[in-house]
Amino acid sequence: MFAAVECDDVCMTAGGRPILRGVTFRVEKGEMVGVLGPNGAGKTTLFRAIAGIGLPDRGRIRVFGESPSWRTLVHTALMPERGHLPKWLTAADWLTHARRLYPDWDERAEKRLADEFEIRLDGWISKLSRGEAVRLALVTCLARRAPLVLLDEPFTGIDLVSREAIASAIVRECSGAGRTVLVATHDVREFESLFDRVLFIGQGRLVADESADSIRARGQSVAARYREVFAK
Amino acid sequence: MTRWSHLAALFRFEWSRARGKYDTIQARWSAPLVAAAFAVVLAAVLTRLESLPWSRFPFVMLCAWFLMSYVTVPRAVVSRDDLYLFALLPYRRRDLIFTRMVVSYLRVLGWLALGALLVLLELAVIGRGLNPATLHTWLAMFAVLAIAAVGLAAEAAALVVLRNTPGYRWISNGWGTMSTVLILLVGDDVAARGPLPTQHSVWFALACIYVILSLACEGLAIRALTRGTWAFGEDVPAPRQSVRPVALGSRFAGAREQAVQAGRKVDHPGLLEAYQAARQAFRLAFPHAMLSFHPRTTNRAPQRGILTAWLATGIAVAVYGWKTSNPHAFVRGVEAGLMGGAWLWSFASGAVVAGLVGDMGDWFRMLPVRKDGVIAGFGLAEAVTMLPWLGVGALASAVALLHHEAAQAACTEDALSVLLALVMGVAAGAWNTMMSAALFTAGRSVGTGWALFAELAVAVAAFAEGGRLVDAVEGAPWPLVAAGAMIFLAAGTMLLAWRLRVAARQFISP
Repeated sequence: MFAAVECDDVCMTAGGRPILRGVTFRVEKGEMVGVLGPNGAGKTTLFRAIAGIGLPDRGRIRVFGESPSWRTLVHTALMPERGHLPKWLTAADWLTHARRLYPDWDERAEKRLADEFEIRLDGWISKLSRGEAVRLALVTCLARRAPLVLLDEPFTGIDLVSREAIASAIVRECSGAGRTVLVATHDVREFESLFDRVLFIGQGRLVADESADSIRARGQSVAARYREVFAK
Repeated sequence: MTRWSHLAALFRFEWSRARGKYDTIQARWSAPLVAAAFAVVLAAVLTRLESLPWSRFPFVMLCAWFLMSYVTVPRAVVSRDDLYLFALLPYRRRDLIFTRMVVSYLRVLGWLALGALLVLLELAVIGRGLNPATLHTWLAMFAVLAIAAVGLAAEAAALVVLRNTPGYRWISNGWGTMSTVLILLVGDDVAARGPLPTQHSVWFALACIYVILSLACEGLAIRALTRGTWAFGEDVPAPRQSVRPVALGSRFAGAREQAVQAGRKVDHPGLLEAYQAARQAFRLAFPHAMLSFHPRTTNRAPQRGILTAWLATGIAVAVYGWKTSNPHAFVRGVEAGLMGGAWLWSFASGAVVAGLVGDMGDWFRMLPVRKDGVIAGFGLAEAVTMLPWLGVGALASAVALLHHEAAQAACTEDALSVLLALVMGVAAGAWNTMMSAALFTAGRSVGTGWALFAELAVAVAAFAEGGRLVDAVEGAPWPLVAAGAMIFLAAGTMLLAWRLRVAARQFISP
């Protein structure tokens, strides 16, 4: 039985600078995992490597038993930290293209999410506010029926009320379908009760890998544990 | 869904990118109109200068038209963000690159077809049909350009990946010039006095070499895309550690209070007070902007690659000068190259400044000083980057002049002439950097297209007649030169101030 994501001693460098140093963990199918760490910890690089956009210098990554490549992108939906949306299109045009580009696109989910997130379909993507762009990127990511969802800072630029709506949409779209979700975030509160596990990453190393239940059993919140791990 | 339907979806998506956002009728037709005007004027000037028969005019025009495809058919304008978007699509990396190449090829071919229409129109206007005697050359020329278009399309597909990949960045600097050399060679052949060339094997050989190299570079781009090395290009630290990091905000922090003071003094200004306040505020903005931007201009990794290319050009020029039998004509050629190159480079430098201003966005808008002064300051700092070009050219001509014993008598005279060309190149290039920075900052419009036309026309004139201009200035009486310089300085400053003001205003409230 393959794990959804398996990292074994993953090391990556950029311009001679080590970004990831021997990261090892395993995420089972259907888990919702928080990847938590301060800025520059290596979360984005880790997500890129899992998505197959960058190859590790050392170590091994497996996504549903396969090495990450364009093939694993077929069942991996990554929402990068910055929107990376086609700025030359309107939101409606982009969603039309996305329907054709992604083989696993769910049109009903797209319409439901676009309504829920109040996407301005006729607006140029280049003119969207940061929050609107993040919401559109989330629609792009969640409207796919990809079994692995990677969300890199999904709350950047999102107001407090919308965050709750987005968190509940993520849970509804992913938990019901048994998808595996990895969320890299600083904003622990909205996901606090939803994480099955949390991976704490600092300076490119996996500092701690704990189940959310074990943290709660110690009478701590995930946010409190985060502070404890990185306060030093 | 089949693989073909996926590829069709990818094609449609890439086509939408190539069409761009500003797909209004005016934007769609302004580029061909500007290019057509440029190509016609250039061909007419060259035909006249070289005393060619008018039957050559359409040949020269077609070369100029094809050169304009560099500007009108986007080659590497895709941003890093767009590249990221493509990399996230679940398709084979070679499918992504080749789809982009196919779209670019169709666009370049479309451009060539428009050129063919223009040629037919010209032939009709000057009262000639397609002459059977020249038909062979026409067919060869179209075939060579269509082959070269494959290379251009490969560049359009792969250049942005290579530019963002530290190990391959140097390739992107030299690659783009190959097609220019090919087209200039074809243009030179058809614009030479005497009968039209009947043998075109050199054209085809060069076009094929260009295409093969382009496809090899495309292979490297696919590899870089697969390995993801492009994604970490921005994380590479600058190798030169001697440059102090400069905080832009802190540079301007001291100016804030002075600027406010300047503003308070002129609550209800008369014309003179307004002028004095503007001058004071400009003086605050300009040096700070220049000092802030200077480390960036001298510490940019891609420019070191360009420096290598320039050094190679300088060596080639020096070798040519070493062997030439007419050193004086060689020096005149170098002078023209110095001035034309400085002008073209300064135009591109303006685009770099505008790119920086665009990236700064609200940070730029919030600077507590005059924004036109900041653009000018950035422009002047960026103008430093043309100095290596001028220096390399001057050095190459010095080497050649010292070598030629026969020219020793005229050596001092020629050296002074090169020095004058240097001064003129620096002055014109610095002005043009600031001017084009203002033009690009003002935004993309039909006006920018015409400005581009004017820029290229000046560059072509400088390349063709720069040497003669330097000789004319050298030979003129000094009071006349001084008066002319003053007039140019005054007119240039006024024009520049106006454009900078327009640019700053448009950027602050678009």
